[in-house]
Amino acid sequence: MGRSSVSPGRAATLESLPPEISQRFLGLCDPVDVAAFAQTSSANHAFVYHSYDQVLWRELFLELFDDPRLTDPATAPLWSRTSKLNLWQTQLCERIRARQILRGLKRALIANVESVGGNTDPDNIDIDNADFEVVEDPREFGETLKVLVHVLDTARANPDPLGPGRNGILRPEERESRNVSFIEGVLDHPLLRKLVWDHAPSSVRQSAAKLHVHYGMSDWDLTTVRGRGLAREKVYLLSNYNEKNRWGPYVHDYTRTPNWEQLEAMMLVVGRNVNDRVNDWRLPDTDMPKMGLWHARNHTMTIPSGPKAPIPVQGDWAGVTGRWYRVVCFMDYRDLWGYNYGDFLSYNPDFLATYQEAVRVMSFNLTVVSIGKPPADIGIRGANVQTPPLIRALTRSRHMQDGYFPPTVRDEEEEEQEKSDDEGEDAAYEEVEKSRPVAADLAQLAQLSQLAQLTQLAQLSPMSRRILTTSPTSSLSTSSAFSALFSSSPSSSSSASPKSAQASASSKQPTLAQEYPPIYFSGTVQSSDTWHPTSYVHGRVERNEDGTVYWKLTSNYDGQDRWVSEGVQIGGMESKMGVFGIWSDAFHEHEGPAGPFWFWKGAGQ
Amino acid sequence: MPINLTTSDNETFTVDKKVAEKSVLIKNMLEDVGESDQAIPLPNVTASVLKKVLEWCEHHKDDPAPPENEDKDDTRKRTTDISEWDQKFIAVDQEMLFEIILAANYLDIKALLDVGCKTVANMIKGKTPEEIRKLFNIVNDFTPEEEAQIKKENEWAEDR
Repeated sequence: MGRSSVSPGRAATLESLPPEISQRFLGLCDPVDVAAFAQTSSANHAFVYHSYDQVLWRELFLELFDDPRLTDPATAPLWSRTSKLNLWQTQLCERIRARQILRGLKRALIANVESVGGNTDPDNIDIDNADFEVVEDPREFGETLKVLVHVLDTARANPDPLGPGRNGILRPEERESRNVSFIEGVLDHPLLRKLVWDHAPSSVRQSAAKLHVHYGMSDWDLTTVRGRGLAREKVYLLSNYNEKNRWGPYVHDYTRTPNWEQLEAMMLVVGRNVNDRVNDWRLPDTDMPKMGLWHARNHTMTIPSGPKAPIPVQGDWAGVTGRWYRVVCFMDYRDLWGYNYGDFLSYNPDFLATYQEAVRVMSFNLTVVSIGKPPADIGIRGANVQTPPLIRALTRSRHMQDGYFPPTVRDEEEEEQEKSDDEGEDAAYEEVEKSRPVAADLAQLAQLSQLAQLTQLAQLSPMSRRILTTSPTSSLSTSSAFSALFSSSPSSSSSASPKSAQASASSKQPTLAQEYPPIYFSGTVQSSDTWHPTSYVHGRVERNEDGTVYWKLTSNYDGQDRWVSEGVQIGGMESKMGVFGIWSDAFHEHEGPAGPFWFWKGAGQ
Repeated sequence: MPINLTTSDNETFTVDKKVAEKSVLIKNMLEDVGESDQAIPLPNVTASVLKKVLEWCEHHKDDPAPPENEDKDDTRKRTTDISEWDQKFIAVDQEMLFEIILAANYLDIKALLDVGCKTVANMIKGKTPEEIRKLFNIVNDFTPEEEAQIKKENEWAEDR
């Protein structure tokens, strides 16, 4: 019986549907289903892989990930739906591939537990005895971790709840990030997390550790004895801290690149100690330390409220003003010395695994002293030794209330002292800053930032490059677009490495330094025994161009700088998780002590 | 006010204006031509399909109108959940399913089109290419070499 219909004379079939409808139902599927659909026939294959634009891939991408055009507007032109780069497709495929690989490893891990009759309930798995020999291709496994870090790094930023026209509240929908949800979903099993944290190939240990630090501590991290020992071995090894990393949690190459393996160990050591004791400290709920993917996000820290809340300071992008908490851990000096310099052969791994180090919690009341330039006289210097720093800090801040800038005219002697003291170790870095060209042709700048972005994509996405070169849809035009852009770098010849192209491009961005100038602060320190001021602290917070936020704190007792601390804020500026790092002797004498700390913002009551 | 609709196979349906206006196409037509006793011709829809579509419109006639620019609102996660009534409604043979989708598209009834597309998406989900072919009667026109090539190209989506 013939029935006339929209396609007269023919019965309606899936393939008779117009393309806009096919796009609609495929857009509702998982990318994996779309790939299966593409393999059913040549017409369906062409529809998925050879459409004239990227609309289907864009839809699939945006269902699972944050919009990269909003995360980094400078890259928006690269994501045009008709761009020959096919970024929507290549980036999505790379991420889904990573997810598929990790899912496969998770299945294998669970199967191993099942095969020996173990409990596979995620809450009751005997992780210590699980079989982690599941990775067949370590290189591929390593690439998936780099992809996850790339997803983490390109997650959308939270809006500033204290920004113009805002009321200080971050609404739940504003905290969402599909990238973060994706990572959370992929790493949803304790066995898989343990595999990533502890069995990553050495070449991607930094990536694995970065994921771990952002993910925070799981049940296993809070109970393992051996893991605690290993973390302490890393944290308390004094040779890990020297001028090459400014005695901070950085890589040993003078660049101040965060050393995620070291930060991971610091998190594990301090986090464990905090977990053991936090209930004794009786902190208000608003002031409790937090870790985890959603707390390792910018603008999630507690915003002080109530009648006693400090008035926000204009330009205080780091949320310095107010109450902070800090937990420091340290070993008895004889034990620390014994571990570092004692008889190596007699070292017993159980010693650090079961060691009980000292743990101190203290609170800080911090005030911004200056923004953009180092203050003239914070801390203790030469003749000023007798003056309590707090009083000078207060004078200073009142003195500079309009704009919080230090006096522009400073006498030379002061300038000299400045350089030799507080800024002494920064001198080399400051030199680099100063030598940067400030003015740049705008068109060139735009071109360069695009180039930098491309370079970054190419660098950070090892798998996308492979997809670019193996997928027939992207063909030569895509990869040649990459190489053409590399060679078009005006600062170098066609043989220029991507890294140098990126460096030259990013060093010409003048806006970030102006938007987030260093903030100098000082304050009083109360120890938990009395909660009365016992010492002073001064310091500085900086944000670099990739968003990393660095804190430096100097503890001052009786007018003398005693300890200096360097740390990285996990999740970027104003993250709830706060700062992990290392404190050490202010004068960095040979064999001086050091220990980890955690520093987070409270509500300020 | 009742509205008359005539199908491609010359059947005329009389429905309430409120029901007919679930179709943006009909709503716009009524606004353009004003009130009239003339039947509105729907040359792209057969009686059996229109009957089904009107059943859906009748049930949903009191639903709030969908917000404008809904397509541009990508802050919300898409879902393939379908209400219980719609699930029963759309439990038809494949040919009718695609006819309903085509009619909803032609008549511009977005919510019904969504129900249809979600249904197709749910049919595809979790299936292998061979299962999808079987389900929708798709003919595999790849040569073995092409098939090997295609499989390689889709490696990114493979279960490991």
